[in-house]
Amino acid sequence: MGSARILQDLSRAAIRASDPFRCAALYGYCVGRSAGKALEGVVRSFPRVARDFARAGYAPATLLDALGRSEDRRLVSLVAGNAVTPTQTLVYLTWHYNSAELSRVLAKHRNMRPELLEALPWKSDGAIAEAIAGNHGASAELLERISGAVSETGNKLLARNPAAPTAVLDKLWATGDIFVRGEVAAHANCSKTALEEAMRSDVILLRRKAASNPNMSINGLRAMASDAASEVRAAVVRNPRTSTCELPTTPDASARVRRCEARRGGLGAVLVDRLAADDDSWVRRWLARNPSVSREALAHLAQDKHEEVRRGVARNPGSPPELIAALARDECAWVRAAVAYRQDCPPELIDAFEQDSSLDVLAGVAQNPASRVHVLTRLAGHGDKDVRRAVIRNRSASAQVLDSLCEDPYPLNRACLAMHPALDSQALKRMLDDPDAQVRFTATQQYVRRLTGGSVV
Amino acid sequence: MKILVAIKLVAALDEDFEIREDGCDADPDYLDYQLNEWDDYSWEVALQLAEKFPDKIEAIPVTVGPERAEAGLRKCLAKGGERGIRVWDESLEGSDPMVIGHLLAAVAKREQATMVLAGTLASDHAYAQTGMCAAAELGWAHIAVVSRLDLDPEASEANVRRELEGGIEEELAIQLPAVMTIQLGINEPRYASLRGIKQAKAKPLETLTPSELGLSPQEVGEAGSLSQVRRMYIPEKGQAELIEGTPAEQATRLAEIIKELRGDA
Repeated sequence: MGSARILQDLSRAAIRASDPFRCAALYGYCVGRSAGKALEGVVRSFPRVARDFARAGYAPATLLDALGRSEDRRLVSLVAGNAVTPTQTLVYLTWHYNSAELSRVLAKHRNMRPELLEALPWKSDGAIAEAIAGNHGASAELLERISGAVSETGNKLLARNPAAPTAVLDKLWATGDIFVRGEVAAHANCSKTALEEAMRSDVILLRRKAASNPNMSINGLRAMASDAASEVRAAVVRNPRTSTCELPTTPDASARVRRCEARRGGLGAVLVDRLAADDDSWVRRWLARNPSVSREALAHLAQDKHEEVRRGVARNPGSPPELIAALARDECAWVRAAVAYRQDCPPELIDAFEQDSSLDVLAGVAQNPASRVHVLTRLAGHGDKDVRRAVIRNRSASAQVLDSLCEDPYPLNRACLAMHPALDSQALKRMLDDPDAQVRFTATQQYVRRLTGGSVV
Repeated sequence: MKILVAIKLVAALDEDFEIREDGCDADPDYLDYQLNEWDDYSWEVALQLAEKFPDKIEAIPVTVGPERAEAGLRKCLAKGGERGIRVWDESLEGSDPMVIGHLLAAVAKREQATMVLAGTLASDHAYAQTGMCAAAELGWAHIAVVSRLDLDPEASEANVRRELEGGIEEELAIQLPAVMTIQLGINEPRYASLRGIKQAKAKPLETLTPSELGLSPQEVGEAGSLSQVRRMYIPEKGQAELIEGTPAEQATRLAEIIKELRGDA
């Protein structure tokens, strides 16, 4: 049977069953305009379900487009506010409706093209201008034009907008309150004059924001590295323009700064040694996770009294096999679990973990693509739903293992299973009639995608 | 020994909703119906007892509601149990917990049940009265907010634990027959298997009317109720403060509020 015919049969069955979830999944793949109308009709005959789809991030774009063209204003407003609503629907909504309320919602949408934002009546409605000020899709030209039309709240949004041009930022710097000026000081388009003023300010917030500016000069960062405020020194350490060679060898008095140091890549051996011996466990914790840390330092951190530090080593991609093997025997299950999730975990360690009593460890084994079939087969029958779901999330799980999970009593597990690419098509087909709406929607969506290769028939 | 478990399909509100034109309830267009969370736990209590004493205990879900309430009974039966009971006719519209309690008591008498379990409350109206009203009508011993139940079907009493204020727990022995309302967390309710869901569709549901239970029209609905909803409305916004501004500004204000609350300001 051809895919068009199968789709037709699926659509008829979904309409006959008045199932809004299967109809929603099929919408956009259906053959013929009348079938599309009938599928949409079923979805809309369940007002609450239609509203749920109109606001859902998982709603198919074609369905959102159809719902956006309905006469139901509430539904249209929800579609306008849905972050995944496609631009073509927003174009329709912009030109078709003359509603200030809807325009305010549209003005915030990230998928609005600059020319659509221009078309909104921002001159006569301050709330629309304000929403545009916060829209990162707005052009620099439009932001410049609206800059005189927005309130104090709008100025704050404008100062944070990455597209805000230097001229606007200069104006905001001159007139804004301390928080507006702070945003200007951190902005990539901030003028040199404003940045230098911020650097020399008595206000810690302004110096901190200046220290975080991606264009702050190396000399400026050097000067602020000895600032009296730890917040400013921490921002200097976080700024990628600060070279790790510039980080001081003597420990900063503030743990806040040292924690930032521990997160930096490319740390020198002396600095690593100093941080590894730090009194603050969070410093050691961040260091243990840092992939640029040497094996010797990791070996030292693997002995740490704090389990979170040892777990950091167990998660670190740079940890060598002998360290991983030692941490696999750690007394703390949370540390062993970190080892169990590692894809480079040797098979003999994974096999040994299968006897572990901790659900976290078992979930790690179940999700590990390196786990062997016999291990996954056993864990697929585990009594805990989270362990079984970890098997389902294992991208290397075989069709046979997955098939045994088709009747998992936990609906979320079946919904996740329907998304697994290795699930047999016949098993997926059986899930089309699942009692749970979420599972039927997902299974139908996946089945149709497989059938059509993702394209509309 | 029969254990009746009172269940209810409760109304869950949509994110945004409207009040019905008569101002006495939410517009049904914005409602979704699902099994009351507490009832999942009380049904699990009954099922576990029925599984522990398979030849001695029968668990029966019972509900008062229109046809859509059958979905709640089927959901229970998908996990276990062999039959369910629904009580309804149009005269029951507008019934308060007292009337529902009378109906449950009538079913308990008809079934010669030894125990009635109900959720501590229903999440939609939160009266927390139905179970106790049934107990009053039956004249049985009753305990509310039960967090553990140990029952031997041969014994004349059951052992019960309750959680009290301040983390105190109380253990009681209760004479049977009895009515108990069950608290969340007493167990971990199971999920129904797909086979169970299919089988539940074929399990018998008995539908009874108030008159079949011996209640006259004057004893049910608004006429038989001791309380009536006069008005339902969304109150004016309270003192919540929406913290606005840049992230730094929001953090500053949040710190101020915390200091105020701690008395440091």
